[in-house]
Amino acid sequence: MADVLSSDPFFRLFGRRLAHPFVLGFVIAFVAILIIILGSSSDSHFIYTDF
Amino acid sequence: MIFNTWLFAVFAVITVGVYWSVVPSRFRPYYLVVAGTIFYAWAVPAYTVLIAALALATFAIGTAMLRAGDHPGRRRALLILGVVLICAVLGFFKYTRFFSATVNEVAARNILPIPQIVVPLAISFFTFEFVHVLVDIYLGKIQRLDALDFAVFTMFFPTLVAGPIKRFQSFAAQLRPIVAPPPEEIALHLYRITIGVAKKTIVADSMSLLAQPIVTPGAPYGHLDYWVGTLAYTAKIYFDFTGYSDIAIGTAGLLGLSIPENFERPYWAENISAFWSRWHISLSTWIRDYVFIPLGGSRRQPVVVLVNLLVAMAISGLWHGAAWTFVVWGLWHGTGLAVHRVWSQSVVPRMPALHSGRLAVRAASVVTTFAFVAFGWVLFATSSLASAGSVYAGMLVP
Amino acid sequence: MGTLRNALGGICVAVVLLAVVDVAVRIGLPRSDRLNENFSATYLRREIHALRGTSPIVVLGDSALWGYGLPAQRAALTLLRRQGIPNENLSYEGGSPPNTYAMLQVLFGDGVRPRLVVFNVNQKEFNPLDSAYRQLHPSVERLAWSALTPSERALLKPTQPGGADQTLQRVIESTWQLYGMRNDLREWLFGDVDAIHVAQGAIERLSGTATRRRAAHRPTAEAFEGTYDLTPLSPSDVSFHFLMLVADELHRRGVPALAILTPTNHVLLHEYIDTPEYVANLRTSTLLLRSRGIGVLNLDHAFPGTDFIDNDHLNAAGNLRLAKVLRAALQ
Repeated sequence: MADVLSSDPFFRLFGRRLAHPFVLGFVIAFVAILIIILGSSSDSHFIYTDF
Repeated sequence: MIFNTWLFAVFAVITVGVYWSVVPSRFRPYYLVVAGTIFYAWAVPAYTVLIAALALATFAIGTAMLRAGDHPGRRRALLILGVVLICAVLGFFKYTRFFSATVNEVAARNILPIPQIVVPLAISFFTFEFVHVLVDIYLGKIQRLDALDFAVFTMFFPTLVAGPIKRFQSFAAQLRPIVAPPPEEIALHLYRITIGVAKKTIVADSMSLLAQPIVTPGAPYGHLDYWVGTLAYTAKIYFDFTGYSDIAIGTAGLLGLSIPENFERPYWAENISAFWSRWHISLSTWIRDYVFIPLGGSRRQPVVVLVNLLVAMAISGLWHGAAWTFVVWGLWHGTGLAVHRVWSQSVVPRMPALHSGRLAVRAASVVTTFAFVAFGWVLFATSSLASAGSVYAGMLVP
Repeated sequence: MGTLRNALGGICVAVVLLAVVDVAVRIGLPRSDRLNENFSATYLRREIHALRGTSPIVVLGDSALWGYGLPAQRAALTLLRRQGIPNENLSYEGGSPPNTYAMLQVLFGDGVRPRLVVFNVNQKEFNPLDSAYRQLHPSVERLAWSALTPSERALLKPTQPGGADQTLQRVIESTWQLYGMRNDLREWLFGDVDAIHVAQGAIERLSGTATRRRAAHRPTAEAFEGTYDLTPLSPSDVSFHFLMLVADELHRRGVPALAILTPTNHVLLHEYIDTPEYVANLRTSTLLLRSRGIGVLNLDHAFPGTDFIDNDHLNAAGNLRLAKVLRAALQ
C-alpha cells in the first residue's frame, strides 16, 4: 500500500513514520479537524452507489 | 449504511474489533458473511433475499459446471443459463424503465407503461462479480468453488455497495486462513480510511456546489460557470470515487483482506488507453476480460477491433446508468479509444517527434487526455442529452 | 499487548489534540451579533446558557427581525444595541409563532428570565403553506422538543428524520463541541456554512451569474401571490394557536413582552393585503396579545415601499428606521 500512498502529502512528509501510533494519532486528529472546518454539507451520497 | 456516516463508523469499529478479539480464526469467514448481510439488509432488507437467491443460483450453476467436467456442451449451456439469468435480473431491475421510456419516446406515445421499480442497491456490482465467477469456471480459471468462500466473496461489506469489483481467485486465496495485518499495515489502513473520508467531505462535496451549473444548466449560468462546473465535476467524481475506494480498501485491509486498487492517478494519463488502465481499474479490466476479449479483442481485423471498442465502452456506459447520456458517454470514450488506436498504430510510428518522450509532448498528451475525459463527464453529470447539449453550447458558443 | 499499547497511545494523542481544539472552540468562538444563518443546536444552547443570571431583553422572531439580506452589523437590533439598548437577538430565518413558543420553552427551561421579550408577528406565517407554519428550525426543535407537550408536538411537523444514524449524530453533536458547532465555526471563519461558497460567490460575480440571478429574482407582486392567507384567524390555525400559547405563557410567567406587527410592504403587496380581511386579522392578533397584557407595536403599515428589499425584509435604510422606532418604544 505504500506505493499507493507515495503521492500522498502526509506520507511524503512523514514517510513510514506515519505508521507510528503517535504520528498517526496526530495526523488522523488533524485531518478530522480539517474535515470539520473545510467539509461541505452539500452532498453526502457517493456517486457510484447509484450504479 | 453509507461509508461517510457515524453509523458506519460505529458498525466498522465494532465489526473489526469483535472480528479480531472475539471471533476464532476459523469462524471469521462466517462472521464476515453475517456482517455483510447485516450491512446490506440495513438499507433494504427485502433485497437481501434477492442477492442471496442470485448468489445461490450462481453457486449452483457454477458447481454444476465444475461437475460437468469434460462435457463442454453442458458447461456451455450452464454458462449461458447463468449469464442470461444474471443479466435478466439486472436488466429487469435496472433497464425496464429505460426500455419502456425509450420505446414510448420513439413512438411519440405511451405504448408501454413505465414501471416504478426500485433498483436493488449494488446490483450492478454483484451481478458483474457473479458473471466473472461463472465465466472463469467455464474457462477453467476457477477449479474449485467453496460455498463459504463464495458467500464471503458475495457479502463482503467493504465492497458490497460500489466495489472495487473483486476477482474470486485472488480473494478466496486469502481466506484460509485470514492473516492479521502487522501493526504498520493497520496504521496505514486507518490512515487511508481517514484520507478517504477527507477526499469525500472536503473536496468531492465542495466540488458538488461548483458543478451545479452542469448538473442543472440554464439561466442564470454563463460561459465561465459551465467551464468551472465541468472542471469541478471532473474533480468531484474523482475524489468521490477514490474516497469511497480508499475507505473500502482500508476497511478490507483492517479485516486482513486485500482487494484490488481502483485508481492510479488517472488524470495524469498520457492517452485515453492509459486513462482506462488507471480509472476504475476493476471495472475496466472486467469489461476487457468479459466483453472486449470475448468479442475477439485485438485479434480481429482492424475495423472489427474498433467496433469492439465502441461496443465494449457502450456497455460500460450503460452499466453506469440506464440513460442515453451514459451510452453516449461510453461511445465518447469508445471513439477516443478507437482514434487512439489508429493514432498510435498508424500516425505515431511515422512521426518520431511524437514518441520522443519530450516533456512538451508528454505534457500536451496529458492535457489533451484530461480535456477529453473532462468533456465526457458532462454527459455523466447531466440528466438528459438535451441538458448536455445546452452545457456544451454554453461552453463553446460565445 | 505491544500493539494494544501502541493503539491506545495513538488514540490518546488523537483525543488530546481534539480535546484541545474543542476547548479552544468552546471558549474562543466569539458570540455574534445575531444567530448564524445555519446555527447549530450546540451553538444555540451555548448562547442561551450565556444568558443565565442576566436579565436581558430577548428578541425572538423571524428573518425580518434577524436582518435578512444585510450583514449583522447593519441589522436593526445590532444598531439598537450600539445605540445603547442592549438586546439578545435570537430571531432567525424561519421564525414563526411555533418557533417563538419553542424558544420560550428553551429559555425558561434553562432558567433564563428576560426582563422583556420582544417578538414579531408576521401575518404570512398564519398561512398553512408557509414553511414555518408548523415546522420548527431543526436546531430549535432539537432543544425544545422534549419541553413540548404531546398535544403541542402533534400539531407540528418534525424536521428531524428518525433513525439510528440521526440519533448517533445528535449524541455526538451534543458531546463533541467542535463537531456540534461546525456550521457556526465555518460561518465565523468563512462567512458561510460551506467554505466553498466563498469560491462559488467569486466565480458567480466574475461570470455575471450573480447579477443575472439578482435581476431574475427582483421581487414582483406576482411572486407573492398566495403568500398571505386571509382566512379569519382562529385557534384551528396552527400558527395562530401557537401565538395564543406564546401570549398565555408570557402572561402566566409575568414576563413583560412587546409584540411587533411586522413591517409589510403594502406598495408591493397592495392587491393582496389591502383588504378588510387582512386588517381584521391584524386586529385579531392585536386583541389577543393585548388581552394577555402584551404591548403591541403596529408597524405593519409604518414603512414606505422604498425601505423594503421584498415583501417584509427591510433594506439598510429600513433597518435604520426600525432601530429608531424600537429605541423610542423601548426607552
